Amino acid sequence: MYAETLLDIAMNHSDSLITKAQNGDNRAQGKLVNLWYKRIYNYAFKYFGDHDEAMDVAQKTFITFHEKIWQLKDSEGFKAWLYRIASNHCHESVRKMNSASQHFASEYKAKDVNREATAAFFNPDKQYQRSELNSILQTALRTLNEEQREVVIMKEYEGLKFKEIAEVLTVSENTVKSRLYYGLGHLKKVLVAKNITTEILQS
Amino acid sequence: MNYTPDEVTLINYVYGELSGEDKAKIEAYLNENPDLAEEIQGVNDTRKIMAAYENKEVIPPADLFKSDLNISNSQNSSAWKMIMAVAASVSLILLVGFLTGFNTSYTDKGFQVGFDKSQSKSEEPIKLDQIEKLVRETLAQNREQQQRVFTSYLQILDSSNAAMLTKQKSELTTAINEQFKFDREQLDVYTQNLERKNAALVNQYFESSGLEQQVYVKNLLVDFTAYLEEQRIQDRDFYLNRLIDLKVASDLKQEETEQMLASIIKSVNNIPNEETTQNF
Repeated sequence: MYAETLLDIAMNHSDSLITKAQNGDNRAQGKLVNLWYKRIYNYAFKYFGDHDEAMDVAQKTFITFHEKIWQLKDSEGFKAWLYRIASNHCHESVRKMNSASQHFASEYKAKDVNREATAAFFNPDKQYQRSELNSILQTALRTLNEEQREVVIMKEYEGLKFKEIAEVLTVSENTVKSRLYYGLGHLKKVLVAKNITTEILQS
Repeated sequence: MNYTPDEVTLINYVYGELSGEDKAKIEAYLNENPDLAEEIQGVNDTRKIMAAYENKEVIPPADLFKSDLNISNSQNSSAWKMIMAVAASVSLILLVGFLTGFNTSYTDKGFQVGFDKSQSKSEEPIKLDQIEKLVRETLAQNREQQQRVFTSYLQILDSSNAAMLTKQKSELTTAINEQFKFDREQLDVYTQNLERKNAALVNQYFESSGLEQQVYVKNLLVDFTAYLEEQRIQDRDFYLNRLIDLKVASDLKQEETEQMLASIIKSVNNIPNEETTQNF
């Protein structure tokens, strides 16, 4: 069961902050940045598997937030609105990578890391194992196409509702569910191929 | 039955968004189709494994909106301050000039500069003592006017400062109240959660403690009963042994007594015969 932290409570009850931020209150904007920065950074990090890219997307997201918060019509839609900005910046970064052909280089690098991570997963040091497991799961996520990856991250890690994901991506809820189903199916195959099972996880 | 669930229905089932008839329908279908059931189990396992991917800690950059801060800070730059100082000086000079009646004029007699128009327009030749008097009076008037201007300027400055201080104080108070309001809201929510958790923990403790105490007392009673039984058996054996010892001792005593009596009787029976023998 997902335990709600103090931070989650604050994030889900920030209507007054959003209203103040829309009226140009810099302190309110700063507080919203502090509340949401980690979430957006981790969304981008899982999307790219790269700290620098994630930092870049997170910073761009909050600069856009600062410039366009007044355009937000309903404070209840803030979460979806913020993730839409982050998602757009992710897409923009991918386009830039593709045009510079860096994407393939990073893919190759990720595969190398993955081979090392798979070999080292059974190391007795648990801390090291956890780090390596994170690396393997990141690599597995990167094997998904962009559409499936963002849906999986938003649903599994960011806890967005299907309706919210549909709003972020401007597609239907059924499309979201379909992408999620095939995305999870693909991840299952990747994890089985890497011999990562729930039993290994528990041990 | 031609029912075949699509991926949307399956995802709804995986995420627990089905209920009633729909849920029963798909569960029945999965019972009849073990391959699909295995696939769904695989999806659930995948979700469990992916959930192990931990979030990374990150600190938001402090200077995210630095460009805006630069714009506002530019008003505090030295150039801006210099421009404002020059403008303020010019304004002050103009104000003093206006209040003191400063004027200049150019006539056939030459260029005149003064603080009072009526005197500057005098056509009569002026004597030296009159000039001195005039200068003294003018200087005195000028001093008074300067004093008044200076006083009024100080009053304006004081009232402006007071208004600014009051405004800043109210803004600061509002900001502090807002800050504390938000913190208080967070604190209230946190406190309520903490109280709920504490109450649950205390209840759990008492329930658990009560059960443990019951078990402990029960075990204690059982142990005490066993101890008493053991003690009783030991005491019984002890007294039995003592009784046996006593019996053995009394038997021995009786036997000794009987032997002594037999010996005495025998001795008594032999006495006359010995005496008779001695007499003979």
